Amino acid sequence: MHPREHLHKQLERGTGWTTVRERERAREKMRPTPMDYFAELEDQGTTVAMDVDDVDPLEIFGGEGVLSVDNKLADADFFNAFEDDFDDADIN
Amino acid sequence: MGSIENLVTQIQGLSGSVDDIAHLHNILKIADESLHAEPSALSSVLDQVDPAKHSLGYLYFLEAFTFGPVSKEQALTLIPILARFINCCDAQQIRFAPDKFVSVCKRFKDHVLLIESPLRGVSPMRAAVRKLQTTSEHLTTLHPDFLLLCILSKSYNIGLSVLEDDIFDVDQPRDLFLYCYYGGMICIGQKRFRKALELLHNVVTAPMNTINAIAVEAYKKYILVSLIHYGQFSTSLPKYASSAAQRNLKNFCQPYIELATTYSSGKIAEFKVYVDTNREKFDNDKNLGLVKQVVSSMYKHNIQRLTQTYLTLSLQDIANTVQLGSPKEAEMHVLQMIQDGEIFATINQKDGMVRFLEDPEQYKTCQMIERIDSSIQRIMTLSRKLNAMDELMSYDPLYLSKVGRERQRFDFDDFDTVPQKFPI
Repeated sequence: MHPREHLHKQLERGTGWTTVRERERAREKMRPTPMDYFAELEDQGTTVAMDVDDVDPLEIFGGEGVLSVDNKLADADFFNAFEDDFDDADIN
Repeated sequence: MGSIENLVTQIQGLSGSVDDIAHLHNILKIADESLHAEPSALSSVLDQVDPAKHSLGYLYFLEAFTFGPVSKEQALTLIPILARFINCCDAQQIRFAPDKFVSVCKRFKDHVLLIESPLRGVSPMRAAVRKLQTTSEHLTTLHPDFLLLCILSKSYNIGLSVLEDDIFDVDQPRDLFLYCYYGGMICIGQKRFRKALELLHNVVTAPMNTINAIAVEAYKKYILVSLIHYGQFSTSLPKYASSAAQRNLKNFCQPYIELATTYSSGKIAEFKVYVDTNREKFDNDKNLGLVKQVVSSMYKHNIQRLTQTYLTLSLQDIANTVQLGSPKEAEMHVLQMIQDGEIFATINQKDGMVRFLEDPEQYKTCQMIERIDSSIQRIMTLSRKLNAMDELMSYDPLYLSKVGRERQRFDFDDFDTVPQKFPI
């Protein structure tokens, strides 16, 4: 059977997805017999497109590396010297 | 001085068509350094140039002329000149040099603050925002400055007019933080608590690498407004909040978290003790007024809870249950809540009984149908907007490279490359 045909059959059974590690392991195992690669695929169930809700939120505004607890506050110099104007007792 | 006179002639001659203005802009960019070299010579030249017709040229002169620190007396002189320019300048022309326009407007804001007259800056800054914006969806760096002046001058209503616009296009993250924080405060001032929560929520959940001071202050107010409006507060942040916020925000707002915990017990006496014990902390944060509103809201929410259990209740019973001083006090609270549409009830003055009623809204009036239709239209527009943004993001190289690094799984399309590695 052509590998692609085999892949389609895997997909029909819902086994079309695999992780990179699994694929690399499969590739190592199958070097002598490339045609067996797709037989190594495990059932991964259905997939969804880029579902970022399941991963840590992306730091779009310049995220770099691992976040660390930092007691320093960014933008600590912002203007916040307002009077307390929300006391309803002042209205009456 | 001769070169400045030449420049004036060119400004007067090249402020007609868009092509002329573009050409003029190139000339002005080259001359900018020399203008800054002799700012004092510019005061006489400003009279020769019309801020409305020759806005771009006037902008370059004005920016150089107002550069540097000023005294209060100088600020008093400059403020009318700056205000006049901002009000009458041509938006199309100043958009050729947005950075210079922003500099001039920020200086104007600083000057009105220096003379402690923020109200003088409100109207010109609103005009400046509208002129700098490319669309109503565009958040400029002047938005926060405008809202700041509104808060300082207690012109909350004027600030609201800008907050009604939906924002989709942001220049700088800090602008968004400040816009939403100041906007939240304006909404609090107008008792638009739901809108305030929406804006403060945006600050708290915005992407941030390290914990942001604006987000900390926003979170404090978010907790208080949540208690006032909903009578409850949940400490868990949504999944899309940044890791920095998830891990650190609560640490900076501990007294407010404990306030919310005490509130949830429903015991007013205990709550008041907590407020009095921590009064100084809330006062230092300038949040004591809002905390007092939280105390008042406790009575209100306790009365609202009664409507879910009872059909009728005496004012005396309401006073006892809610821990008010007297039936008269209970009556005042109930009347105010009826007036505000927070409960539906009638009070029988003879026997002091309150009868709680169902919400009379039948959702079949023309106004209600129009309101629902308008909400549906807004949601549909928002949905189209989100789809367009999602599509744009899916092409963004920065986004793709980050997601590619973090994700292990591949799309089905990636399998196309796999078979090529194996000889068939």
